[in-house]
Amino acid sequence: MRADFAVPGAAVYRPIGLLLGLLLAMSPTLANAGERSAAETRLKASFVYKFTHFVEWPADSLGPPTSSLRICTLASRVFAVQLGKIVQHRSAHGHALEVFHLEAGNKLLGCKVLFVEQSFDSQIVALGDRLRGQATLTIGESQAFLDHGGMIALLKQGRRLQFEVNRQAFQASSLLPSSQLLRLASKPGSHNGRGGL
Amino acid sequence: MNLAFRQRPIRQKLILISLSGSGLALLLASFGFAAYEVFTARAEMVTRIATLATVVAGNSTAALSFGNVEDARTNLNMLGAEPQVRAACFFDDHNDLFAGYVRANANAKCPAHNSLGTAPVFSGKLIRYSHSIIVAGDKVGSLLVVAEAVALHQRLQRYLLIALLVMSVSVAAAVWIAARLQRLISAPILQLVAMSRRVSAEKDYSLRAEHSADDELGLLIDAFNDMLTQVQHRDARLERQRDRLDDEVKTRTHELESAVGNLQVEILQRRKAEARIRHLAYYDVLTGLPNRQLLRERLQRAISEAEEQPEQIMALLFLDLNHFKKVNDVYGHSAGDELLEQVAGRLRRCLRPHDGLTQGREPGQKPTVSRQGGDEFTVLLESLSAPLDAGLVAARISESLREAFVLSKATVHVGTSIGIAVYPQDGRDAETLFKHADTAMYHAKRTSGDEFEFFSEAMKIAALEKLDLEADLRRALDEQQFVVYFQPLVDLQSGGIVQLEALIRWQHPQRGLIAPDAFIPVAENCGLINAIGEWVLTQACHCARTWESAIAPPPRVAVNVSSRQFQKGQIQRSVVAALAASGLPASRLELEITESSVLENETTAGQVLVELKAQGISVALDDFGTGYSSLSHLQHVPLDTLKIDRSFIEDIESEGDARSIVITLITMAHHLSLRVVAEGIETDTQRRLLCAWGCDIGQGFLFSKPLAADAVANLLKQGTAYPMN
Repeated sequence: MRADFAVPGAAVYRPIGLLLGLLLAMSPTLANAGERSAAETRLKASFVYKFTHFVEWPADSLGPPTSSLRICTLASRVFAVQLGKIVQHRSAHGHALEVFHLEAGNKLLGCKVLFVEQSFDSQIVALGDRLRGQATLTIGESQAFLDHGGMIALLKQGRRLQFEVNRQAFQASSLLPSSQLLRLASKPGSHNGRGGL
Repeated sequence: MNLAFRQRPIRQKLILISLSGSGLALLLASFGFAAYEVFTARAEMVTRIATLATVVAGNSTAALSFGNVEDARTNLNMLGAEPQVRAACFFDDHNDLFAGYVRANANAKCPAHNSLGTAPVFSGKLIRYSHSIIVAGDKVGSLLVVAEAVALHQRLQRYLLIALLVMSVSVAAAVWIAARLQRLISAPILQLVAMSRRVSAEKDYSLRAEHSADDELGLLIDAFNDMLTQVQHRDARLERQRDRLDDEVKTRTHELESAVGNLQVEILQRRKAEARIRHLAYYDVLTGLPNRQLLRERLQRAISEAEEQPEQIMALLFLDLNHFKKVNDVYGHSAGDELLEQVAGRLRRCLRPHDGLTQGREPGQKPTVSRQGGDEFTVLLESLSAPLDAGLVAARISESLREAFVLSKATVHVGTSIGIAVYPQDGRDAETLFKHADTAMYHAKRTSGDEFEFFSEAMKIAALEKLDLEADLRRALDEQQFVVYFQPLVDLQSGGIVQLEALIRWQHPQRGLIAPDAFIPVAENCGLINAIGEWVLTQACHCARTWESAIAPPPRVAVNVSSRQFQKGQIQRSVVAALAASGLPASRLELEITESSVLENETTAGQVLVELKAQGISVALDDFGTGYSSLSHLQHVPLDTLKIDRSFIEDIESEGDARSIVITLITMAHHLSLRVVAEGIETDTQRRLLCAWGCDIGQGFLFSKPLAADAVANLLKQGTAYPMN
């Protein structure tokens, strides 16, 4: 699988600045622009991680308990690092979590969660084809992502980070979002995006 | 309180006990149940709140995860639907307040920070419960629920009300049941009480309490009945013992009374005995007359009185019965005693102050008649007017005693000799008066016989002459003034002389021939008897040796032996010496002894005679019948010959006791294999009678008077002393 991403250093990022990160996350008000951006990244990574708890995968799709639940990121390296820090030592549905930073040309095989940063929206269509038939939770950052069949989109409304859910996309997949997730989603059920990316 | 309880009757105690027991049990049970109820209710409430919290928390995990306050609040509002919830608060993963719900009008609020643990906290009516919200092992926040335990309190109140109600009803029921049941216990006790009262009132231990049941009270009643049985038995036993004690007291009282009676008798006897002892000390037992002691005291008192009054004249009369010894010997001691009693009676009569015999011429006052001992009596005459008055009394006594005495065995004549000593002329002290009265009495006896004599100086001289006689006797032995005469003893059958009795005579240079009766007692008293006896023995043996040429077979010679000679073995030595000196065979020597000499030396005499007899000497008992004639005493003496005293022979011619005695004696002697010699034969009639009765040998003037030694030789040559037929 690693061979798919023949990128040196594309291995799983081990968090090394967890404490620092936490400090940063907890003092967002100190931020200048850069810092604010870091806090935002951290929050987004945290959301991504938390979504894994509120979505049910088909029982057989996650494989044996020993196999990890892979979160693939099609995003900046900073994000991937940030997410790696968060999921370190954490698990979901009994499976250890791991972050896989996708490079161009990497196959999406084994990705149970796929986060696509807004800047990578251009690849949405291609991704959609590649993900078809796979039980992968797709999380994006734009309305467009939802329109293209993305399942959850992190949306900023002022300073608050919210998310929207594409129920159709879920219904089309074998994934089951929790009722709480649906309830929290802004304008729930109002989005009429197409099911699946 | 305690005291008040104790003083209550058992009935009330039992009720109170059962009440307090049941009440306490109910109270404890109620409290227990109430506590359990509270606990359960609380647990239920906690469970309910926990359940609610779990539900709400579960439903709010996403809201907390994604920081959605609106959704969280919405969920909290759901909790608000529960009436007991006062407030509900969400805290984020840093325990800071995230979202809160507070009921209107509730005095509760959400704290800014949740510091509560997982355990519920009760404070007052409020319960605080904190529920952690965890997602995949991460705590994303917590839910705090503050609830009011209103229902719990309501429920508790309701419960207590019911418990109170149940308790009241139970207590009432318990009172009612206890009041009924206590009778089971108190009724038998009351019955027992009534029974004990009845027992103590009626003292009837046969009553018994009724056995009601087999419980402890039944045991108590059984024990009570057992006790009554014991008491009944004891009562009966005590009754029996009391009866027995009564009987014993009666018996003892009776015994005591009889003992007291015995004691009184004994005291009386003792007094009598004491009086008798006093009497014995001063009075003669036989005659009842004052004795020698009393007389002596009276005499001394009279003398001491007389010394104060110079004119006083007193007289002491000394009496001696003349033939008392003979009466005693012949008729026995009882006859002698009888005689003495009669003599005493006559003396009393003679001296009775108002006796007609005195005819107003009272010779003396307070005459005292006493018995001196034996046949001797003494009369003390005081306050005499003249010495001759004593002579009148003596004459009267003499006349009175001359009369015949009629004894139970015989009638005897005795008569008395009386010596009189007069105070003060014959003596000024009792000792002298006695001595002189005694001398006068002896004088009277020797000279006149049946008479009385006043003491005189001449008598004193006669007494002194007795002393001269003693001196003469000593001289007589030296000067050979003694002569031995022999009186033949004749065989009453043949008339031949078989034996000669040696008899001593004293040829006194001044007084002429003196009979042995006159000097032998003097010789015995002064100790010359042994020498005289030895001389006679030697002479007799010597003479007997000379008769051998005159006649064949030569006759035996008999020698009188005094009792004094038996003392110290004197006679043995004398006999041996005499036989040796003369060469006379022992078989031809016979010793004549008297009863008194045997009795006086009873222990030695028998043995001495046995030894002498062993040498061949024969032994004759002289004067038999005048002494005690006690054969029991004589049986130890080895006798060959019995010589019957002349006093019996005198009377054998008249039909009387003497004849019977002699015949009996002869028969008896023959039975004892003794020769019998009759002394003092004076008539031929006597000789023939004795010969007819079988008497062996005779001696007396009929045959021959005592002869000198040479005359004996001549008589022997004639062959016979007396022609028989």
